[in-house]
Amino acid sequence: MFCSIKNPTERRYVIRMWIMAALCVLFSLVAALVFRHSRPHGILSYLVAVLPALPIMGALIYTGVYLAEEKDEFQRNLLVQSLLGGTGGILAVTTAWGYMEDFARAPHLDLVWVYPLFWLFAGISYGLVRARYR
Amino acid sequence: MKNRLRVLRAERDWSQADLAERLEVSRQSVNAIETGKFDPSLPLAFKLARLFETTIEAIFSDEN
Amino acid sequence: MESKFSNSVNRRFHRRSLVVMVLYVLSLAVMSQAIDHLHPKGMALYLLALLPALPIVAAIVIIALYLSEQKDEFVRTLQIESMLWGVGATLTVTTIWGALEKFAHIRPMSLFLVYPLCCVFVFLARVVVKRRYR
Repeated sequence: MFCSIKNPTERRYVIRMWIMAALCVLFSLVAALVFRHSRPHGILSYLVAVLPALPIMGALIYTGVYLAEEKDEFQRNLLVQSLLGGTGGILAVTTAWGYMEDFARAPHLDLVWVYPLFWLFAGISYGLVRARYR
Repeated sequence: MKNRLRVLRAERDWSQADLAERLEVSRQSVNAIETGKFDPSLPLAFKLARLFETTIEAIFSDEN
Repeated sequence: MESKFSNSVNRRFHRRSLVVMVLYVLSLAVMSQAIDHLHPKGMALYLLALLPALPIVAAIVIIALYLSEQKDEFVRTLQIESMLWGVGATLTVTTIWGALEKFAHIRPMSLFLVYPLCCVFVFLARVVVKRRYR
């Protein structure tokens, strides 16, 4: 599946991102299970809660590494525009939903969804930016 | 920025993919530069000039 | 790093930002007063709660306009780099806080604070990035 990507820098990035995504899901499940069955306290509870955040930080670091390593400036530009689009998207959504939650009693949105929503909007932006250069 | 990349490519019978491979960039990038939608950086412009054995000004025209 | 070249773009950005800030404060006041005194329900309540989010979305659009209007590519690159660092920090903090909220039951953070938090991180990043080029 990954052999279709010819650019080695890009291929390495995509593989790393998939690994981080898998670890994120895995660590989230582990953390949820630990809390449901053993009820840890104090420092231990904090450490287990932070566990899923580690692959997320890894993914962000790998994205930074890719941006620094990618020699194709156009591809780099595409990713940067996508990331900025993702940023604008989540900032708008969290602000709107935040006010509706606090003042109009809208259903609660967990803070942990900010990160996946970011990638959702980044993906949408990528499609839009690619289309512009068609 | 307007450029003569398509003409220069045709002279050597290179496809966009061929040019992309020689420049070590993606075919998308070559297309974006060729259609004037994306300006290459100075290093990339020099690479293009060297590849086509000419000067940057002979490839790109900056119409102000 | 101010040049005659980038001044008009910066001035336009600051002017627009000021207008939006004023609108934001006004909309907050209008919204909270209207909810307190008129006690709206249903769709009216949702729309009223959304009011302060509109100037924030406008602020995001203004930033996007600034990036596209800024012809000085060096300045633009610095701004974008600061924004990416700021977003990375914001995503990390919100994920960790969200996980701690769910599992360690710390105080929840209002969703609309994500935007100001991001602005703070971007500002800090800008200070660090600019220093590199002194």
